[in-house]
Amino acid sequence: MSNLLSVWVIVPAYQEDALLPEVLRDLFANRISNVVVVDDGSPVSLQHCVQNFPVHFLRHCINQGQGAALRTGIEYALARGAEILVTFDADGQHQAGQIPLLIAPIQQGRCEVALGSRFLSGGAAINAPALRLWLLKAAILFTRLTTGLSLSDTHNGFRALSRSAVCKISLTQRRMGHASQIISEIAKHSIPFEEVPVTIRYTDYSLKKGQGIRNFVEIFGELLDEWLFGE
Amino acid sequence: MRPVQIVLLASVTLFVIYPLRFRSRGRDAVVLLILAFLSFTFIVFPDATTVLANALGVGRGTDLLVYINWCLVVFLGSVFHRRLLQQDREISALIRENAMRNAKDLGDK
Repeated sequence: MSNLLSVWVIVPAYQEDALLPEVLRDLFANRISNVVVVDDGSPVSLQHCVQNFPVHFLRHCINQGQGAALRTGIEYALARGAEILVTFDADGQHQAGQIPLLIAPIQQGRCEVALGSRFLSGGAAINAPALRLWLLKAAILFTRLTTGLSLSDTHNGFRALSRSAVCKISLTQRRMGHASQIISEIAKHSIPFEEVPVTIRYTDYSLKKGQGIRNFVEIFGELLDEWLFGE
Repeated sequence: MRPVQIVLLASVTLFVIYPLRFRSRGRDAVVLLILAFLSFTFIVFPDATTVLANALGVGRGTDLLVYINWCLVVFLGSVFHRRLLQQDREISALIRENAMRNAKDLGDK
């Protein structure tokens, strides 16, 4: 049985009152002990909907973006001795029951980063619209051209990182560009990684919150901005 | 290619690269002094703009001033954008520190 005691799950959330309790129930039902919820400046604090769960709750006073919320959660978890960190969306797309499968390659010492992939054999993108799938394929090609990494899924928020990998990765993208930045940092530091098949379940709710064409243009702009004006 | 095009291309390139790689308070002051000197010169000797414009292949002094101003717009845009990005990062760091300081362990009751 997988040892989940040193695993910390980071859940960045913005206006997720509707599904966050269900997501947390799923996590705790699957024996996850350490959950960090980072409220990214929701107009109404999400504390009221996590009050009955044994989570670590942090709140950005101003909305910063998912990348910034992840970084806050990661730094918090590292300070508390996390050995493996899992990033997990708050919109119900990810399945907590797949966390042991996701972290297995890291626990077995085969890699330092496990990237969830909905396109590998065994993975699935349930109810995914065709346009979304095409955009994701374009993102895969973009990643291949810019990093040289041949991945089957590059914008999947379901990933696990070892403590040592996280310490090497510089996460400065505050908004949606963080997913691409994590990949480029993995390539830059030659961090050993594996892709693991996972299921991403789309709903009308998650599709409304997810990334469309405009978001992909914004992500491209954020990455260009970082390249030109980054530290 | 006319001389003014070469000068303008070089200027725009320099003004984009400058804030990315070479900017410092001291160098900003030097750039400002140069701009101030040019401004004083063109105000005191307005015909100088026409002489310079003709030398660079531009018809009128006022046209040359428009091109110079355009380069300045690119320069200022680049400088301010970079400065705003730096401020965004600083604000983000403060917000993170605040969030971590006020973290609640709801499992520790």
